[in-house]
Amino acid sequence: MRGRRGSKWVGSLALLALSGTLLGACSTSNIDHPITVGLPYPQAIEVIAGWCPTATIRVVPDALPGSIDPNLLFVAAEFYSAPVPSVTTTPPQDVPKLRAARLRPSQTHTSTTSPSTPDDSGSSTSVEPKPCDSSVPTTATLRLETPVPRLTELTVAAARTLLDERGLVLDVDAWSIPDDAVVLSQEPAPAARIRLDALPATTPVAVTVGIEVPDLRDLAEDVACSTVEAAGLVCDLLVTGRGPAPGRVTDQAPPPGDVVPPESAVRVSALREVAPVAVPSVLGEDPQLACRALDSVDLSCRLEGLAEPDLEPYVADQAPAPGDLVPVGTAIALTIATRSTRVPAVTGMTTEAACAAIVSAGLVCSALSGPRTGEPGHVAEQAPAADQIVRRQSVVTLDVPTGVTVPDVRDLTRDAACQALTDAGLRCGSGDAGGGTITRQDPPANSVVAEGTEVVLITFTEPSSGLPLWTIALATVVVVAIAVAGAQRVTRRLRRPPVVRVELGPIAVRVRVDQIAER
Amino acid sequence: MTTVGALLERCDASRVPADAVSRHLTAMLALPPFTQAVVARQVTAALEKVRDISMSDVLQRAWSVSRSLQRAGRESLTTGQRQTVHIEGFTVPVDYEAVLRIVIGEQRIDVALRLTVAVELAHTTAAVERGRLVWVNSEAFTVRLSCSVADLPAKDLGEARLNLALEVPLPRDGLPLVAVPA
Repeated sequence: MRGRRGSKWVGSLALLALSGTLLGACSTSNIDHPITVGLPYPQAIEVIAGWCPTATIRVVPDALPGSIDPNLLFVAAEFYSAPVPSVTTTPPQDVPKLRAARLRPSQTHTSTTSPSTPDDSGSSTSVEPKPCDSSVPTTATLRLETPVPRLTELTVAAARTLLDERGLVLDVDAWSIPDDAVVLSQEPAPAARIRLDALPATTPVAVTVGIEVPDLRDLAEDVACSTVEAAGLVCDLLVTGRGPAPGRVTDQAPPPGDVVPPESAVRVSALREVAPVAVPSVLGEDPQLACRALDSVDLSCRLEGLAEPDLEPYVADQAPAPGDLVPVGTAIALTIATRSTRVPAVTGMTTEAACAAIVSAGLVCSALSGPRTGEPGHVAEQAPAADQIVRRQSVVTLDVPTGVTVPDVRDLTRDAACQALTDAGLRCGSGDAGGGTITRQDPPANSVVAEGTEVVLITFTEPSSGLPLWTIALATVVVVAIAVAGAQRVTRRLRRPPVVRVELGPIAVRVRVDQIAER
Repeated sequence: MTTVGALLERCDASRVPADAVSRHLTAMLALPPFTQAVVARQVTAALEKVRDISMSDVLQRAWSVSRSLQRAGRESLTTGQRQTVHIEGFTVPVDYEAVLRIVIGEQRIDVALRLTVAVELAHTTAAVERGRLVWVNSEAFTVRLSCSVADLPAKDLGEARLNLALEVPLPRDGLPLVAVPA
């Protein structure tokens, strides 16, 4: 037991010699004193006070702020000027120094007596107290050091608090670090001790920190960038879409939760969405005005069926329909129709072909038939004239000659026949100049010819043969009778019932749009 | 395919339009009985085109103004997919208008005639592909006829219930509903 205690003293002396060398002015470091190296600071005070109540204790650094936990400070080196005391574990009876330091002495105490292991692991060795010589002024100088705590995975704020309790300072590898940044590594390593020559310690604890990338998804782009910058990161905003700011964040890189170095760039992808637009109604509008109206609500127009401005074009249909919601920039298809149209040239056509052309041009066909000059059944004249611009559904009147039926003038005298032909709108043509009745006519009776057609009349005259007078008288009576009969036939023909003719014009179809009901 | 003429006969109203025209005419002109009969006969003959109007023609015009079918037609072109449309109720009046020109000797009179065919469809289902109507069916298809002469009030000629499937002979590639872009 004694031998073991002696070897410990040898170790203590060696450490004191080393401490004296380190402190420079420790010329009397060979005095006998309790070993307090490695003890927590309050315990060291207790030990010294118990050994020598009259000893003067000097602590470096001498002023400990209240924020520092003294239990986390350890005695690093000591120096005594008094005779060598024996190491004791007896609880001190009078500890004015301790009270002055506002420390409460413990009721039991086990000193550390192994200078070779200056830590607070405790010792099983106890020695008898050997009081100091109170007549000799004794001064104890205690230098303090503190262990570096484990800081990794702590936030910067928590790391600062831990270091503050030990009088240490944090050295962070970035300009602006948020308190919730996470410590990734530290130097010195945990449990290493830093000598406190001053408070706070001049040797900082250097750390590298990482910042957890915040979740930015679905945030407004400005809020997202503010969040990124508040986290000590750099916002790299990438905007897509044509809508108004701010857009909504659709993606980010790095993803939320990743830990990145301070001031790293975070790519924030934001989509500036465009609210859908209700398609305005441009039905009936002039195409140019319609396009302008669509442009004013950020829509475009696509004209289908452009027409000449002279024809009064207008929008007849549009797709999508009015009121439909479409994205900004959508092209609205406008079907263009015209209120006016050009009158087609139909002169010379048959009535059917002419009316078909007129109806297909959006006009109404009105054919007026009558015994006029021209080819029967073919359009002789039209009004309005061809190529004139008129409103749609205007009436185009066609003059269609129906022709004249050639009357039967045979057996009439030439004068009576000519009268009948003139009444029918025909011309009495030349022929032989015989004085008898008409025996042949060209065109023949009942044929249909154009008004004013010349009808050639042929008479038959008996050759002069020196007939007796009674024969001539008889012939005259017969001729007169025939003439009278012919005149009566002509009169009967003229008194026939009037001609009745009914024609149905082109059929127009119209859907009553205002009365459509659909659900 | 049912025609207007067949419907008029079914409604026992085949002489109504011609009689209405004749009455209008005789109210304007003092015609001898013989001429009056001739006019009536010729009016009846002239209205043959109107009698030939088919329900297929009427329906085709009805499809062209149906918002649901038009929208489906456009969507079928946009998406390239068959569109199915259900129309709960659909009523469309279609007017057929023509002018009868009546020439009696030197006198000439124009009489405006309007025949209205109102289509009523209930619970109609249709299929549209590539902007064309390719299939259609309806639970109830009713047609109402009325006609008016000159400015006189329209006269109801009756109504008939028809089978839509028989009235719509759809071509193999369907009926065009919307213009197909080039």
